[in-house]
Amino acid sequence: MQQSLEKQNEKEPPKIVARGVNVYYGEKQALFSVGLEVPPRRVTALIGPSGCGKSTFLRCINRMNDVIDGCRVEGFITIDGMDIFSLDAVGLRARIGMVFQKPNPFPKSIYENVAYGVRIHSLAKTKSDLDAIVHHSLKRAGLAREVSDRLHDPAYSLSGGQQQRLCIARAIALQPELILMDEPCSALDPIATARIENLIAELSRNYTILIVTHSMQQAARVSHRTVFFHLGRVIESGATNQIFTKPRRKQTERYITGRIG
Amino acid sequence: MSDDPHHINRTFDEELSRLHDMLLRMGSLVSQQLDSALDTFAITHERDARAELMDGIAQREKALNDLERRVQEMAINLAAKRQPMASDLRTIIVAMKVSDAFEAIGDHCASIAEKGSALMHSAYRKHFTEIAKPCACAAQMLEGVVSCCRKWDESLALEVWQKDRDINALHDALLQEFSKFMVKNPSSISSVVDFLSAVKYVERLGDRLKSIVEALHYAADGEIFAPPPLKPPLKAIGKGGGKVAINKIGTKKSGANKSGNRAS
Repeated sequence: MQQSLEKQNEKEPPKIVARGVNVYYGEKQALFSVGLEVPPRRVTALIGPSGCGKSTFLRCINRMNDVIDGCRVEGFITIDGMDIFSLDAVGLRARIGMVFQKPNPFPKSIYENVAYGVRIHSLAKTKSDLDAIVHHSLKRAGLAREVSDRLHDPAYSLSGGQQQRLCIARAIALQPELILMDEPCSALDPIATARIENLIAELSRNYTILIVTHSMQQAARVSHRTVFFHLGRVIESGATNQIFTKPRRKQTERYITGRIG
Repeated sequence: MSDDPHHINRTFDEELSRLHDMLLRMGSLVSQQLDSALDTFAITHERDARAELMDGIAQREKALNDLERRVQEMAINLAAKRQPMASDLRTIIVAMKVSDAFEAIGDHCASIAEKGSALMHSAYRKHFTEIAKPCACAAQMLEGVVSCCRKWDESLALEVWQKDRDINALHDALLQEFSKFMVKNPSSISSVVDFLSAVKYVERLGDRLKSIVEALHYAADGEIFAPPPLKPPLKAIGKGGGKVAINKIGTKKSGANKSGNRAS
């Protein structure tokens, strides 16, 4: 079943294609001709030491680098064959959910956190539509049962792990085409981490997920494909099983076995 | 087993090194066990010397069991604590397999020695020194295995792996010849059955050594071992059903020697 799904996804065109992506922060070049294909409805993990460019690359996808002064992005990135640089940045970001290292709920109620983007983008016609989207999103994020009796409590009353799942619920309420996650579990305890990882596995049936993680074990656990970045370049990408048992490149081997930092 | 630079965490290097040393120690002990097992088939032995030989075998068997347990424990602890990846992961998994195989080979050697000892007073004893042939082959395999364990050598590994066929061929030839021998000498049946069980242990030992080569190949290469095209096995039976010289031990040239193969 898993294999046939894998084959089916491989046959489909990639969700994201990046070619020759260079990123500069002022004079300093952070990415060097990065090329990558991200398959649809799969989890792709970006790994590499700090400063290797994995988060920079992630932020290229939803053009968050556009808002950084002095940041310049060159190259070619498409989502479903459409050049992201030809699209309206706000419209693009509405199609892409993002989850950050630290949970960043709005200073509003649990309900409003999920409903906020839905209202902004006019995705619900009626109040009952909105309720349904909020409930469905919380359910998909594995949070509905825990918060059903306190939807109007402040989001900050939730634990860190619950807040992170709320952020995921907020992201999926907009029915994104892909979800970007930048070290989503680094501030969470092992139980909360396990819940998020479980959620990632479930979401990958419907969403394309790109996750940056410093934990190799997490990349090995949650992803189908892994990309190793080093010094702003993609050194190796491949099936996660292959990368973690038999990497092709010496640099990858040295990094994942803890021989280079 | 990796040529890579040290881990950033040096204690991991030290632990892997200890694991490796234990495997080499097992290889060395197994080598001594095989020599001793063969010695039990020597024609002349003083009673005291034989007792000493058997005592040494028992002690080494105990040491091998102990080392196997320590390797397994250490490998499990390393897997749990370090969560190894890539070559480290393969090394740790393979260490478990290799230690298991070395321990089993040690058991086989002890069983061979038991048979050798049991045949000490057999009237047909002189014929049973024929076991030296497959044992010599196994000793060469073992030497190659320990060498590959110390430092991976692909071509040596392939040579060692293929040598198992020579042991199998020698086993088959001895089985055939001694079956005929039993028919001609019915009073030998009990002794020959013991002897052939010892030869069978050598054959199994070869299989275990082959499995170690396959495991080491996986550790080094990351690919499950794919058998290469095989060389013809050692010719244990010459033209016209040429016999393994059961009556003229060490005097008749075997087919293997004629063909320049590795038998000794």
